[in-house]
Amino acid sequence: MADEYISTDEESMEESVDITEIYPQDDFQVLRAEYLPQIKKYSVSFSKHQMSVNTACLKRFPETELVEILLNRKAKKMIIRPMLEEEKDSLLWCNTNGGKRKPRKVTVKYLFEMLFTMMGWDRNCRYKLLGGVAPFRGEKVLFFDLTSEQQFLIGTKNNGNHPIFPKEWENQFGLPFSEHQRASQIGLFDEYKPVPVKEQEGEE
Amino acid sequence: MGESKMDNRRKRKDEDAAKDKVRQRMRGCLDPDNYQYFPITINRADYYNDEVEQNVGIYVRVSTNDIKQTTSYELQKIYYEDFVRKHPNWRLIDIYADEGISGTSMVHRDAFNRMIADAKAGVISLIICKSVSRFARNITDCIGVIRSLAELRNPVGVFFESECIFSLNEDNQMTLNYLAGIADEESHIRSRGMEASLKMRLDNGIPLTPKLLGYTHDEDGNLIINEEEAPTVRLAFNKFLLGHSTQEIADSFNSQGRQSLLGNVKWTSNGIVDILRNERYCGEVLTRKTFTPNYRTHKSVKNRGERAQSLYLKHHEPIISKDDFIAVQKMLDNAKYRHEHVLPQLRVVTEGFLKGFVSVHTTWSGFTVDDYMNASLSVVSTEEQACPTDYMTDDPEYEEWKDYEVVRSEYITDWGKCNVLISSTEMYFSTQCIRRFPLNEKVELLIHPVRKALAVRTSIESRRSEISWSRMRNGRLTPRSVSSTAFGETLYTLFDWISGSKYQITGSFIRKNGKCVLIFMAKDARIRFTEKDTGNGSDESAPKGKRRQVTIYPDGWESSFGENFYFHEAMRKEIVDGGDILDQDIVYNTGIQLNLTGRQKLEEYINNVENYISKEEGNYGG
Repeated sequence: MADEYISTDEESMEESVDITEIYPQDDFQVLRAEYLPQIKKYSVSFSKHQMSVNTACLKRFPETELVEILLNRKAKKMIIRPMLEEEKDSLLWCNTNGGKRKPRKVTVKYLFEMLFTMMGWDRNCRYKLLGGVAPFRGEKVLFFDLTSEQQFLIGTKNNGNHPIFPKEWENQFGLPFSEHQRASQIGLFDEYKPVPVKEQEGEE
Repeated sequence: MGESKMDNRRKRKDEDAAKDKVRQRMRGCLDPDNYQYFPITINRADYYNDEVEQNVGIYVRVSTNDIKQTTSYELQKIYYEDFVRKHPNWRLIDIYADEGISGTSMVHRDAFNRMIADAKAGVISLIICKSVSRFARNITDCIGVIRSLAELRNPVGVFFESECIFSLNEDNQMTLNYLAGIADEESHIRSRGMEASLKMRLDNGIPLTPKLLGYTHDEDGNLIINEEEAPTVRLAFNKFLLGHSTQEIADSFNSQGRQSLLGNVKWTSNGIVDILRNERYCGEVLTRKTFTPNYRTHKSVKNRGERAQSLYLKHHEPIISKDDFIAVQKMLDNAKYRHEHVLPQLRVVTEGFLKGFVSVHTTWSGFTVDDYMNASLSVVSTEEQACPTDYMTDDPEYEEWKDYEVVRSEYITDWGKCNVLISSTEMYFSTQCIRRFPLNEKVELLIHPVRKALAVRTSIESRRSEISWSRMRNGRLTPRSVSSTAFGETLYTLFDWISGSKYQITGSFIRKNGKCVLIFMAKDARIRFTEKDTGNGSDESAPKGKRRQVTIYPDGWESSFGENFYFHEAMRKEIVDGGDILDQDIVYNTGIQLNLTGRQKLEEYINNVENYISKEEGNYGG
């Protein structure tokens, strides 16, 4: 097999062959994002009657201190909408200490209870939702799918949260390559495609 | 047949023998060597037995203070002193005399009560009284006292001279009861006669007008103003209209040496109230303000409708105008709410964002639910005031977003919220509310009766409706409760709230054209109460017996996260398009218009009278 390895020098590159001719596509699995650090993705977490977003959300909306939360019970979707001015139903989503903005843990006791009941979530667990930025009536908002939650067992101070993965994920790194290709075409947010953080920074 | 005759004969014989035995036994047989007799050594009181030593008390009573009755009283005293002297074994202990006291009740009959106490203490053993009617005109008291004296360890007897009855004589009991009943009925008949006489008089143009401060009677018995006393009355009314309390007025009268009706200088707050409440000072007479329901007790009670009344208008010359008098009554009715100002006015905002909002006077209960409602509707129609119903359904993205709900802030525990806690007696605004407004600012409370909303705005200078909702403590502004006892019931009725419950509302802070306002919507109100946690709740870690706060949300909230997105947007649009926060408001007139004496005129009068007093030496006669 060693002589079948592709050489890295320039000459060899011109003569490279399609690796899928050597190894069948579906022998490969696309590593699940859940197994990788996701600090640069937009997320919101619910745990112990509290809610907080991650730093990526704050960086995406650097001028925003107040947000509104919108929920769709039927579609199981959530929107975090930046607000320009204080309103009755807005909440402060960050703390500013020493000029640096940090996500704020907001106690949302009744919202927590209603949401967890609606979704059938375990109150002893922490739930994280990955989301994206999408247009909303001329504005940009953060969009989350409540059905794509990541579940974590709440750990102790010294022993952090442990992710809980579905049983069918056992003994696999991810979806087979072709299946993954098909799934990504559908899109996570119906007609809206998640915009990666890196591309957006380039646009700005 | 023959046998039954024999049986009967035998039976009769046995019965006769038994009877003989009983007769024999009943005859008795005294054996002088084995028998001793002990005669009576302690003689109880006996009016008819002069051999018995008796300590005598005489009771005399006349029931009026009439001078002619005083003569009767003195004659009785002299007579009985001689009477006792004629009995060598009698010792006169005291003459117990009640002068000018009714016999239908034992209350205030001090001499009578002292006599009974002496009798029970064994000081006297015999009481002599002229007649049963003098002793008491109340059958219950009369018989009760006589029996209690007879049942003493050493019985005390009462002799009624006119009726010739001695209470300890067994033969006289029925007669005594009968006479006591007659005396009682005599009082009853007199009372009914008086009642009928009063009715004929009071309801047919002849009201009773006894002397009162500020008035005297002319030769025909009509009330005429006493110009020496009238200034005192005018001062009391004028000062009260200007906002002085009744205690302040009483203190000023005492310091000025003003004399009351009785000629003394002992003014009290209640005395001032009596003057201010007397309709005779505005020229009217209302009869039967009090009445005596029980002729035995003589106790007067307020007439709340149990007796017919007559009101005579323009009966005599007034000292105070009718309108001023009405104003004073309204102020007195609200004085318990610590209302310190003259009649407040209801004001309604005519323009801008707060159009239709009506000012609230938290210390005044005189405005009704209808007053607030009509005031608001006077500037805005019901249709204009209704919440929007057609909200943005023509939006092209409507189908996309129509199912979204804006999560209500009540589901989020955030320190930054503007909350108000309302009970029927007080309101308490959170720290965030008061810190939203500039430092030390007084605020004004307004209500929108149709939209069921409360608003708090910066108070306009010299407004009487302003409230003090904060205080400075340790250099920081902190909330203080606002009393709403006067207004609470009206508020609860306007908002359809349950009496006795406490409501908390999260408000919206709105800043426009440089001005601020807080809006609280009643539809967002949740009930809050404290209950003892028995440890059976969901929080098992909470110690048993600890109190916990319980919140009850409005109906329908349990099935939604918040308002529909489009409704929420429509309300937001209303705020944006609703105009600036303006101060323009107008007075809304409620009820009958009063033509009050002007403030300047009131002050002038007070200054004139009090300056005149200060120039005089000694007490001012009125």
